[in-house]
Amino acid sequence: MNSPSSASSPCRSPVIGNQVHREFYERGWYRDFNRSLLQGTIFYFQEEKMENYQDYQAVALAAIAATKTTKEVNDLKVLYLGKNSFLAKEMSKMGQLSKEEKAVFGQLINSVRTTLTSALESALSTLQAAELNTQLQKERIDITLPGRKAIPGSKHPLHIIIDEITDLCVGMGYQVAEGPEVESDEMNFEKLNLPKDHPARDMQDTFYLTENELLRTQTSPVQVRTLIAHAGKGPVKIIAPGKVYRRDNDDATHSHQFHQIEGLYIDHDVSMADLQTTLNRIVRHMFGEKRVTRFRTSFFPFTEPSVEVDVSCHMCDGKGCNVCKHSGWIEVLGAGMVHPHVLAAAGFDSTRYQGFAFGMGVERIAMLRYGVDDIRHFYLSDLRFISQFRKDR
Amino acid sequence: MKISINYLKKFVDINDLSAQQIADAITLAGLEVEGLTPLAQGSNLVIGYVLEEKSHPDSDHLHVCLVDTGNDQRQIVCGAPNVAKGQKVIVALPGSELPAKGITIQKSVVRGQESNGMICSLAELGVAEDTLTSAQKEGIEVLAQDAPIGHENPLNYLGLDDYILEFKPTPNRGDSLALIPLFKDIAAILNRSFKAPEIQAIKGQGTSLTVGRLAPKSPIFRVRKVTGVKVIDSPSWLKDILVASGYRPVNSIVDIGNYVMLMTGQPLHMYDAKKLKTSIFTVNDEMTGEFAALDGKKYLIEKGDLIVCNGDDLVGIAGVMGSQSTMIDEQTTSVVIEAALFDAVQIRKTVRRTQLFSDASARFIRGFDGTVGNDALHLATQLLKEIGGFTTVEEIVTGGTYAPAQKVIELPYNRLNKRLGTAFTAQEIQSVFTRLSWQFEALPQSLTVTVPLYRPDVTLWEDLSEEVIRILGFSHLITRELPSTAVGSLSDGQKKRRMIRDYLLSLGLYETINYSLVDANTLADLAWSSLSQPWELMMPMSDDHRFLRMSTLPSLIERIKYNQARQMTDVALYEISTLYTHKEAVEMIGVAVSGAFQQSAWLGAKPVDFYTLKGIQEGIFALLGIDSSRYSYEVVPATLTGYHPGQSALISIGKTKLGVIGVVHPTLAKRYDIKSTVVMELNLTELLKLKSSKTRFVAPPTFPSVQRDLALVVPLQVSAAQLTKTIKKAGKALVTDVEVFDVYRGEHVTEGFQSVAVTITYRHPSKTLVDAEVTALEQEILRALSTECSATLRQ
Repeated sequence: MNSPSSASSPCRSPVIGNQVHREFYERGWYRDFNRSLLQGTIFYFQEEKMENYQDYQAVALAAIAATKTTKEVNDLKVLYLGKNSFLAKEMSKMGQLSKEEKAVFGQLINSVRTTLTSALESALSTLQAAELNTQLQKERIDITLPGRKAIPGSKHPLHIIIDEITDLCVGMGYQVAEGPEVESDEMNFEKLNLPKDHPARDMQDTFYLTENELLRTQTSPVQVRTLIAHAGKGPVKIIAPGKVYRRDNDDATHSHQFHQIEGLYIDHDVSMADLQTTLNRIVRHMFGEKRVTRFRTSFFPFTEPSVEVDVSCHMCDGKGCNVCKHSGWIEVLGAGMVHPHVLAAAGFDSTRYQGFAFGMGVERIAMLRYGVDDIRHFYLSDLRFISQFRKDR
Repeated sequence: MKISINYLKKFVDINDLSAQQIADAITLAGLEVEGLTPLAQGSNLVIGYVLEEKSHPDSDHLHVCLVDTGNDQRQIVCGAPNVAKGQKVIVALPGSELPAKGITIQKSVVRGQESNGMICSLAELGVAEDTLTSAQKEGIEVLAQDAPIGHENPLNYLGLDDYILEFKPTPNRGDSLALIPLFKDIAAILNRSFKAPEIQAIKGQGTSLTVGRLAPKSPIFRVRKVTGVKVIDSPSWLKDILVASGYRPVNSIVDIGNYVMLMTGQPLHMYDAKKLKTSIFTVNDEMTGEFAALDGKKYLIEKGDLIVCNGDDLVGIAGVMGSQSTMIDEQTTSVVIEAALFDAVQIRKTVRRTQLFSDASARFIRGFDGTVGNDALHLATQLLKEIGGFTTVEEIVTGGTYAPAQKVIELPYNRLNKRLGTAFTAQEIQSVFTRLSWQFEALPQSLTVTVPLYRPDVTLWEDLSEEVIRILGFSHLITRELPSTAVGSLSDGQKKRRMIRDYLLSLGLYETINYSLVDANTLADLAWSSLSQPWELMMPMSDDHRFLRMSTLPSLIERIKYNQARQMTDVALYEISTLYTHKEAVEMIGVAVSGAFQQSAWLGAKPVDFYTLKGIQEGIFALLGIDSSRYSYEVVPATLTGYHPGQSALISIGKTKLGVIGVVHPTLAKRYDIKSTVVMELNLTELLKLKSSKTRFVAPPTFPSVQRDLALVVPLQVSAAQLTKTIKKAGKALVTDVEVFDVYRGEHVTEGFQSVAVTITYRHPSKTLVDAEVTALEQEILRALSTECSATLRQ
């Protein structure tokens, strides 16, 4: 029943067994764990042959260390620690031992089991990590391929300008007023001090729908409507962005449809100097802090005094270039102190109230700011055009 | 309006100012300068005398000249056909720069002959070609025989060292179209003295003319007859002024008429007296018929047009153009000069209808000092005498009266400063009117200003405030921090509109703005809403822009077509715009998507479908707090032919249609030449009217929910909405959610049926549901599904 072993170190530990193997032990026999394990029966060997056999624990640890897959580890777990393992069988014999023997033997068995369990767990986690890593390597993707599309669209450049000026003005205490694009002659002209046959009506040829209804040629009728709604009581502080229409042939610089932003501020002491302060703020916001403005006397039927406002050229800093036609100045808007006739026509007492109005062309500002060379771009909806403004939302 | 700086200098003392300085100053003061052009340009010029001229030995058109330039004699090769011995000419010496031609003159050898300069034409010096005669255009300029040889500023000698200043007169400043009041204004702006031209009253002897009935819109009509005049070439000073101001010199009579109008603003009309059949002038406003004008064309006249008649003959459309039958020609020996005043509005009407724009009518329309008529006639008479002379002059005959009162306006100092935001002293304010040469009277707190008749636009003290600030300058505005008590904000609707825009942009739609005016052909495409009766322009500029559109969708698919024609297949656009019809104004959100939307091709991009836009619609409604239980979908009626009949829906709340979502009908898509496209239009005006509940905290449910799946076989005509509704109803309050997770038609499902799989979520608010309860409920649901939807469990 003793058998040779090819392994090296024999078990030196004192093996205490039940009565049977104590007898063996006393006769100089040692248990051959390895063989027992492999054949399911307990083998013993004699001391003189001890160097040819291995200790159970050492054999198991060596086997665990040699595992290459989690399956092998799991198999070894069954083999060394499972129900049918030698260890389990040894454990089952505990009952036959004396109390003292139980203590010693139990400790020995537990120590072997703990060592093996921990070795198995450690081998398993190492191999699991390695296997996961292999799996992940297989799942590798081409990170240079484009993502699942989630590209935001682009705001229309005219709305970028309108929104910016709106936000700035709201911050300065303005409300945003709206008015109809189909207007009456009365609101669009007559109440703005432009009676029928006024020569200034030549300046803005009009799309009439009927004798008295038209497509508004300016956002100024919103002024009138707002003033009327305030029923003679100030302050009135509004801006009014919107579409307007004129009988112009469409070309690079003209469009029969375009946008304006109207501003109106009426109170007891709002002055032309305040107009300048306000416009400076708007113009600098739109074209940069270094810009300066210049007022030029002009004429609008609904303001007195009237001014055109030039801004120092943002392209050349006023030195002169193609954009400013070598003058250093760019005309950006019209403004003035609201004409007493306009106030009176809207039910305001012009001896108690005064204030300013301004109006600017949105297309013009957008063209200047972005360097757009043809006004028709704004109405073509060419994606190659609109998408250029994505980040200016 | 164009003026010569040199001519301005004759009346205003501005020799120390550059043309640019003058232009800058008057621009800020309301005369917006649009151009400042040198009349001629050239450096290193000298007046020379052609001593010898012979043909170039190696050329059949070149001439070799010996020219005396004062300090020396030099050989110059000249190509002009008109060069000849004995001429006084303009020589550009080597080093001379001629900007008009972009050249610098250098010593050279031309076909073996040395050339030390160039003999110049006026065109080479940059004189505008349209002011030159054909001889001047083709050849060198030949100066008068008394021109001083060696004169180093030939441009000055010729009166060509001048700048033409062109400005845009504003509609209120009719006075700026007349040089006398204009120069007076410029003198005030520059704070220089103004020397008015002297106009002598020339007395006439008797008269043979009478002025009869005048139409009401012709308040005053003056005529004067001058006999024994000569039609000659005008002297160069007169031609120069006319050319500088953009008039083409014709002959002495016509030129004098134009010059007087240019100076005074009063248009004159010159009739050939011999061609007038009677001596009686009338102005009528009730004539109709044809009028043969002096431009050789015929014009239809209508009632209301002011017509000048001589006896029964129509001799002029008043203020616009004279008749061909009475026009001045080379044989004219006596003239009748008319200086009248006509109603601006009527002239404007006539001009617009006949499209006969003239300098005279422009002045009647803008207005001028109507009292200068006599001065104008005297100035014309004076010039007729100086230029060519005459034998007799009759007295001026005047019909009607025109004696407007000068306006007197009180200008309160404190209100002026309050309006402008300035701190002008009484003296400063007075200085403005001193500079303008307007009469005023100073009171302790105000100034009483008498407005000259050439400034009819000034009627209120506010108008005077503009005079003050434009003369004293905007640098006097005193800026202050704005009192900002007002709180600005967007309205609720404005905020929601922005929210929707931000949402659509974030989804990846591109914002567009399209034309409101469209053509008749696209007007009805994709119509779905209550909008009808479109506005039509009375006078459209083209058929492309004739009607106000009733939907944003045709514009959007037109834009898809535009992009797809340029190789951009995936297009996702939206527009938020208000539409106007005779009956209503409605703000619409239009969306149109074609191709793939937010998909990457390598991941297997699928084209957009109905559900892409339905998802966006649900998102918008969710943003606005409109619960899905409040609105419903119905298949579009067959009358909406623009939509795919099986893949389009109208959305409504009660009877109110809120919007449409649909696949563009293949026939329409083909017409537009676009790929498969899905559109959506939502009535934002109606959406914003819907109330959304206030946000209030509700505790998250404490008890767990149970989810069970059912696979149902359902007749095709039963919709998912019906199933969901039935399940919810049968499940009472315990069914909290029903979600369809699979829809299948085809193999293993009977024809006419489909399999719909749903996940039902059950939850009791106050306890944990047990299996048996759920099963019981499920049985009830299945019964209801069976009776109400003919749905059975899939086997």
